[in-house]
Amino acid sequence: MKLSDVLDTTKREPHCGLCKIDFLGTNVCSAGKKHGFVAYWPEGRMELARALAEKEVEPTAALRDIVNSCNMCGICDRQCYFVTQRRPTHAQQALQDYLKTLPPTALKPTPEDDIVKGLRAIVGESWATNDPVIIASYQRSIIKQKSKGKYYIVMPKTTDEIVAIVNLANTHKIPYLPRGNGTFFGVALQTLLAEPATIEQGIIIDMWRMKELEVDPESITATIGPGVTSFELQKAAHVHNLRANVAEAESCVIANAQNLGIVTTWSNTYGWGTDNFIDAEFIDSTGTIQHLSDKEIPNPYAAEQGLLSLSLIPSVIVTKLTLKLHEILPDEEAIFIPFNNLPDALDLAHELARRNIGVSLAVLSRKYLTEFISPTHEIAEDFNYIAEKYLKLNYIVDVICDAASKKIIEELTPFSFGSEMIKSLILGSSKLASMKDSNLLKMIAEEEDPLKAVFGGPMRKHFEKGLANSPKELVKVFDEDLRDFFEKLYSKPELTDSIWLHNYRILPCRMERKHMWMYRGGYMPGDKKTIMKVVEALEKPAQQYDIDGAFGFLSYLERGKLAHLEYDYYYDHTDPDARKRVNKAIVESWRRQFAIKGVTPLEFICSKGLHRKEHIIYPLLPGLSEEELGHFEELIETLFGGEDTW
Amino acid sequence: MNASLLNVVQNIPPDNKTIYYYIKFTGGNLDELITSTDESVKQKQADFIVAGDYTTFIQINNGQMSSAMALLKNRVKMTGNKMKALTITKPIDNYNNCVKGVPTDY
Repeated sequence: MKLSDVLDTTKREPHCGLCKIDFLGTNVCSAGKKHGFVAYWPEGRMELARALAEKEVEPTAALRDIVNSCNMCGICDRQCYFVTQRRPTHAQQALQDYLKTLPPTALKPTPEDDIVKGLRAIVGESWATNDPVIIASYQRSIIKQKSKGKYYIVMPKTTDEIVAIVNLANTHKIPYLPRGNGTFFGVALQTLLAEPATIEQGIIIDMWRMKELEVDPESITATIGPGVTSFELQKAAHVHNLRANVAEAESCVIANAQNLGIVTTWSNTYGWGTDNFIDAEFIDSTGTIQHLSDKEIPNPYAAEQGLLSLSLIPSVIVTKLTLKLHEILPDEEAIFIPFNNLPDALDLAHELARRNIGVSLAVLSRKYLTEFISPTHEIAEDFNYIAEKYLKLNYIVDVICDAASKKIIEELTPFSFGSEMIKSLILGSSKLASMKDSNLLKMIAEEEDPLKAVFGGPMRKHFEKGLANSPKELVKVFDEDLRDFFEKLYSKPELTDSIWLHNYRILPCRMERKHMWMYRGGYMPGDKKTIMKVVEALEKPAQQYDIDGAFGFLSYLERGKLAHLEYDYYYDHTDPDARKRVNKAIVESWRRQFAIKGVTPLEFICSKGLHRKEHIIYPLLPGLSEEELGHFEELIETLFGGEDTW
Repeated sequence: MNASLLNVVQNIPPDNKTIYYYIKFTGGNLDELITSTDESVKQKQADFIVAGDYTTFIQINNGQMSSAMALLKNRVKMTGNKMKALTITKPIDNYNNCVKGVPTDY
C-alpha cells in the first residue's frame, strides 16, 4: 500500500485525540502509551503518513522506530471507526510499506542541538526531541501545516520541570506553547486562526504525561494535572457517585477550563467559568509558580473585553486545577421534547432554566441528534433528511433531571420521549434510514402535527415497532471484520444510555466523519430576540459563502440570564476554495455578532477561562457602530492580510 | 493621524536591559522619535504603551509579525484606548514596513 493510497483518509484526519483514551473499553494503543509523542499514536501516524506523502518532511531514524513500535493490534481501528469511520491501520500499513522502500542508510538520527540537550537534561532522554518526523506529527494540531520554524517537543512530568523548560526558553529567547490533547487546535488550525493560535518556532510542551488525578469525596472536589482528559476525570468521579462538569471526552480538562471556561449542557446547574474550580496552580512567563489562592498575586481576573481582547495563546501555563464535583441524584432521568422550530424550543428551555429545572439542559439541533446517534455518516444524513422532511423534528429540548422535575416538564409539554426512544433510535437508526421515503413516513408527514403523531399519538407504537432493532442488525453497516466487536459493544447498556452518553460525551467527534467543522457562536443575553438575531448573524455568512451551516446546541446560563450558543460551519478543509470561503464567513460572522448588543463571539473568550465571567461578559458590550466596524475590518486586514491571501 | 506610542522593549541581551522607543505622529507625519534606556520617557504619556520582549520586537521590526498579531499571540501587552488603537493599526504597520528597510544588526 502506498502513502498516496491512504492520502484521502490521512488528509481528513481531524486530530480529535480520542485514540488516547480508553472510551470503548478496548485499552489504548500500546506504542502511544509507551512513547507518548503524538507520532506514536494513531492520530500522529496518520498525520505523519500525510506529511511524508506530501513531501513536507524527510524520513529520519525516528520513522523506523515509530513504524516498528506498532503491532497492528487493531485497537485504533475499533476506536477510530466508531467515531470517525476511519481506519488508522491502513495508514500504518502504508508507513510500513514505505519504510521497506527506503535504503537503511537513508534514515539518519537527528543531531542534538543545545536546546534539545537542555530539554533532555530536564525531562530525561526519552521525553524531548527535535526530530522532524516526530515534529511533523504535531502539524495541524498545534503546529501550522508547512511551517518552516524550528521546533522542539518536550513532555514534562512535573510542575518543576515546566518551570525549568520556561526558564530554558527564556534563556534562548524562543517562544513556547503548552498542548493538551490538541482538540481546539485540530479545529482552529484549518482556518485563518492558525497563525494567532500557534507559535512560529519554539518549544511545544506536550502535557500528556501529567496525569495526576485525585478525587476527594469528602470535599466533593478533584485535583488534576493538565494531561487529564474529561473522560478520565468523569470515570474517576463516578467511582464516588460524583460527576464533573466536563467537555467532550477527549479534551484535556485544564486546557478546556483555561481556554473556554467549560460550558456544557450541565452548566444550567453546575455553572461555567470560575464556577467550575476552586484553585489553580500556574506558571507565569518568568517561570514563577503561582496559585489563584495566593494572597499577593495581581488580580487574576482582570480581563480585556471587545475587539482587541482576542488572544488565542494563554499567558500562563496551568499545571494543577482543583475542580468542584457534583453529587449524582439517585432518580435522574432523561427527557426529550421535540420541536419543529427554534423559537418554541427556546421558550420551553428558557422557562426551565429560569425555574432551575434540569441538571443538564440544552436545546439541541436535528443535526447533532442525528449525527451523534447514527453509526455512520451516511445513516446520519438519511436520518437527518427523514427528521426534517417527514417528522418535522428540527430541535430538541434535551433535559436530564430528577423525577419531580420530570413531572413538571411533562405537565408543561404536550408530548415528550425518554431514554427508551433514544435507545430505539440508536439501535434502529439504520432501519430508520432504510425507511426513507416509505409509505409509513409519508403517512406521518400528512398528519397535522407529525411530531405529535410520532411522539405523543397513536402512531408512536408503530414507529417504535418499526425501529425495533438489535445490535446484531445495527452492526451490518460496519466493515465486516469489525462487526463482532461492535455487536458486543452496542450490547453494553451504556452505549444506549442517554445519561451515560451525556456524562462521557464520546459522540460529538462524529461531527468530523465527513468534513471538518468550525464552531461559531459565543455568549449572549438569554432573551429570545437576541438569540434569534445571533442565529441569523451566523446563518447569513454561511449562506453568503456557500458553507453548510447548522445550529449546534444552546445552553442557558445563570438561570436564563445568559446563553451560550454553538453554531457550526461544516466544510472540506482539504479544498483550498472551501477554506477561503469559511474564512470569509468567519470574519463576516464576527462583524455581524459584534453589531448585536451584549454578544461576545466565542474566540473572544479564548484564554480567559480562568477569569471571572463577570469580568469577561459584563458590562454587556454595546453593539459596535458602523465606524467601529470599519476599524474592525482594517484590523482584520492588518492581522490576516486581504481576503485573497487567506 | 495624531497619536503617540511608547514601545517598551524588555529583556535585551546580554544583561536583560529595557529600552524605551517613543514615536509621535502629528497630522500623519512622524513628529518625534526617542530611543532611551531612561524610563523618564514614560512621562511623555503616550496614547499607547506596548511592552514585550526584545525577540518579539525584532520580529515586528523585521516585518515578520505585525504588532496586532503579536498582541493576539500574547507576546506584547498594550495599554491605552483600545478603540483608538484600532484606528492606528494600519498606519503603525506601514511605519514598521518603513523601519524594516533600515539596515539593523540585532
